[in-house]
Amino acid sequence: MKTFIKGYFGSKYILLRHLVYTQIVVIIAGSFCIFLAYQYVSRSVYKVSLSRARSLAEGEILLRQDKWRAWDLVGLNEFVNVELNDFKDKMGLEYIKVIPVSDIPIALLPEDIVVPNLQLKSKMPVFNVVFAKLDTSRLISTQVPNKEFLTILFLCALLFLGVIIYSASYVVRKIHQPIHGLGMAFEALEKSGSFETGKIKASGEMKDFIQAVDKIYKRSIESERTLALGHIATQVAHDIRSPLAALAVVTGSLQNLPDDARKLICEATGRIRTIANDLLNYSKKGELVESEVLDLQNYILEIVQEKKLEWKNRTKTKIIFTECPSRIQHPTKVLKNIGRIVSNVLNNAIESIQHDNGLVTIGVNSLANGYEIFISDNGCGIPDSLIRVLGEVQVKSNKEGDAGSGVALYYAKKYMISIGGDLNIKSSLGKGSRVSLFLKAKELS
Amino acid sequence: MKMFLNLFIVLSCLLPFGLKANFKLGYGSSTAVVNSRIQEGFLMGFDLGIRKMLGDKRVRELLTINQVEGASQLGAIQSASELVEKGVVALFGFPGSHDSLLAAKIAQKANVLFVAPGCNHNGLGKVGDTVYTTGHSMDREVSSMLDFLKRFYSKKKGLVIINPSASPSLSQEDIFKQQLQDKSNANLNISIVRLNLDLQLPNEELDKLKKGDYSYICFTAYPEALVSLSNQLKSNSIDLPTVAGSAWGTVDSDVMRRYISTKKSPFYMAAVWVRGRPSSVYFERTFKLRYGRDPTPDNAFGYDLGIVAGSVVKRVAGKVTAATILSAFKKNKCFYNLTVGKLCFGDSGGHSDAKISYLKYTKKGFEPVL
Repeated sequence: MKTFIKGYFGSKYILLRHLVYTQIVVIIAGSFCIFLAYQYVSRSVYKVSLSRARSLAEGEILLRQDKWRAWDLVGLNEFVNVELNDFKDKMGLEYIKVIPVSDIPIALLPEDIVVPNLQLKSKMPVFNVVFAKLDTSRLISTQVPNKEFLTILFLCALLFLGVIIYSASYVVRKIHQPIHGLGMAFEALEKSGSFETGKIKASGEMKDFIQAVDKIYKRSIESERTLALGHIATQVAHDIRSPLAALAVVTGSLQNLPDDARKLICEATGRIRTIANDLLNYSKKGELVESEVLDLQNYILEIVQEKKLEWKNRTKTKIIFTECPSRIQHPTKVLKNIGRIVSNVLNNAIESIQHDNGLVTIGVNSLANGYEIFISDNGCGIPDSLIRVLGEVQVKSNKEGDAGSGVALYYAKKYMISIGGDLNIKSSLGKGSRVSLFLKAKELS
Repeated sequence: MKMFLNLFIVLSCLLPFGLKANFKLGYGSSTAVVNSRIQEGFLMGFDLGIRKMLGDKRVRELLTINQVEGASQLGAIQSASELVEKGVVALFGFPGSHDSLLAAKIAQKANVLFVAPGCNHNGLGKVGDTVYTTGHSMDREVSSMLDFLKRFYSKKKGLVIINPSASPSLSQEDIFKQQLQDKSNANLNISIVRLNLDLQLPNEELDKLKKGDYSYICFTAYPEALVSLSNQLKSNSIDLPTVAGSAWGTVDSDVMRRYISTKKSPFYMAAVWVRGRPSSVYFERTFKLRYGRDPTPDNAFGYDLGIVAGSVVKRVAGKVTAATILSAFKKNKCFYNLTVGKLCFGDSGGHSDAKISYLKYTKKGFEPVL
C-alpha cells in the first residue's frame, strides 16, 4: 500500500501522501470501530435474547420440575423422557434431562445452561435436578441486529466514507493543487524567468494568498526596475552636464534668434539643468529633493506655453489655459516636481487626441483645503478596465505610436499620495479624459 | 415395710406412663398422587391402630404428623425430610408407591425405620434394610394375577393395561412380560398395552376391544389414575370381565364404584384385606365405634401400620432411639393382631408376606373367590 501510494503520488508530495496515509488509517480505524460497535450490539442483543430464553425456560421448568424429578426418583424414566422431549421442542432447548445432583458439573456453568434454583424453605435433600441447555442456534439469528439498525449503520459508514473522500478531494483541489501550481510557477520563474499565476485555480484565502504572492513578485520587479532607473539617472545626469555646459556657452551668442525661440531655448536649457540636478540628487539620496516655485498659476502657465511651442506642429490641437475664476491665494512655494507631472499629463492628453478638433484645457481650481490642477482633453479616452488600475500598476496606454508602460502615471500617483495629495482620472472612451491633481494647502506652503 | 414395697411397685408400674415421651414417631403423607380423602383414610386407621398399642396419651405425645398438601410431586420428600429434621426415630405412612419410594430415600439416608402401608412397588424392596412396606411385592401381585387368570380365563385372550404415568403400574409391565415367558403360563393368551399420553387406550386396541378380540381386561393402576380409561370404555360400550390389581383393593375409590355400577360382566379384584374375616372383626368394630362408619381398605391398611408402629415401640427395651427401634424391628419382623392376622417382613427390607385374595363383586358386595 505504502509503495503504491508513494508510486502514485511520487516522492515529492510528502504532505499529500501523509494526508492519504492518515485518511486510510482513519477509514480502517473507523471501519474497525463500526465492526466493534456491530459486534457489541450483536452480543448485547444475543445476551438479552439468551437471558429472556433462559428466564422463560427456568420459569417453565420450575413449574414442572417437581414432577419430573419425582418421576425420575420412582423410576418413571420413560414417561419423564416423553414429557421432557415435548418440553424441549416447545421451549427450543438443545436438551433437557433429569440428572443426579452429583452429576452437575463443578465448573462454572455456561450461560446457556439452565438449572433452576433448588433452594427450598425446608432443608429438603436434593437427589436430582433438571438440567437443560438452551438451543443457542435458534438465538444466533437474534445476534444479527435488525435490518433498520444495519441500514443506519451502513448509511453512517457511507456518510463517513463520503466525508473522508470529500475532505481529501477538497484538500487536494483547494490547497494542494494551488500550492503545487505556485510551486510550478516558481520553478518556471527559475528556469525561464516568467512568473505566471493566472492559470492557477484557486479560491478563497488561497486565491488571496496567490494574489499577494503575485503582487509581491511584481513589486520586487518594479523595485529592480527602479533601482536600474536610479543607475540610469546617475549616468544620464552625469552625461547631460557636458552638453549643458556647451549649451550655456552657446546660449550667450543667440541674439540673432527671435525672442520667443531664444527664451524657449534658455528655459529648456535651465529645465534640463534642473532635471540633471534632480537626477543626481535622486541617485545620491534615493529621493527627489525638489526645487520650489513661488507662483503656482504662473508656473503652470509657463508649462503651457512651453507645451504650445513643443507641440506647435499639432496645429489642429488647441491648448487653453483657463485662469481660476475665484481669487487664488497663491502659495509662495510649490514643489517643482509637480511641474513634471503636469508636463507629462499634458503630453498624454495631446497624444490621446487623434482627430482634427483637438482641445486640451488646463487650469487651477481653488478648493476648501487646497487646489486642483486639472488637465482635460477630448481625445480617445481610456477604457474602464485601465482606469481601475492606472496609477496602481504600470499599464500600457493607447498612445499613438507609443508603447509606454504607464510608469509615469504610476509614479505620479505615488508621488501625489506621498505628499498628501491625490491623482484622479476620469475618462469616457472616445470622448476624452480629465486628470486632476489635488494639492493640500499645507504642502504648498 | 410391706406398704413401702407396694408403693414402690405401683410407682414403678406407673412411671413409664407418667413420664413424658422423649422421642417422636413420624407419620407423613402428601397428596401428590393419592388424594387427600384416601390419605385421611390411611391416617384414621393408623391412628386407631397405634392408639390401641400405645394408648391415647402416649400417642398424643410421641406422634408427629406431617401431611403436605399441594400438587408438588416431591411432597413426600418434603414431608419426610421435615419429619427427620424434627428428630423422629421412625417414619410411617406415605401411602402409595410414588410417595413411599420418595420418602424411603429420606429414611434410608437418615438411617431411620420406614414402614409404608400396602405399597407394592418392587423398588421398595431395593432401597435398603431400613425400608419396609406392609404390601406384597409386585412379583407376587403379578404371579397371583396370572394364577387367577389361568384358573378363570385359561386360553382366552386378555389385555393387560399399563398406565405409564403410574409407577406401580409401569413396574408391572416388565414383570408381566417376564412371567408370561414362563412355561407354567403357556396357556395364557395375554397382550400388554400402554395407555397414551391422554391416559386412554390407543385407537387400534380400542377397535380390537370393540370387535371382541379380547375376552377380558386387566387393570394394573389405582382407579383414580384410570378415570379417562374408565370413561373411554363406558362411552364405547365396552363391557368385558375385568380383573383389577390390588391397588383397587387398597383404597376406597368412588371411581371404582362408578365403574362397577355400570358393568354387567364380572369384576374381580386382588385384595389383601377381606372384610369380615375373623382377624378383621375387632378392627371393624372398633373403627365403627370410633368413627361411626364401616371401614374401607385404606383404613384397614392404616390400622395394620399403626399396630406395627405401636408394636415395634413396645418391643424396644430401654431408651427409644432410631437405632433401638430399627434393632427391635429387625429382631422380630413378625407382627400380630392385624386385620390380615399375622404379617412378617424379609431380612433385607421390602415387602411383607401378606396373602393376596381375589374378590368378586356381587350384589352383596365383594366376596372372596380365591
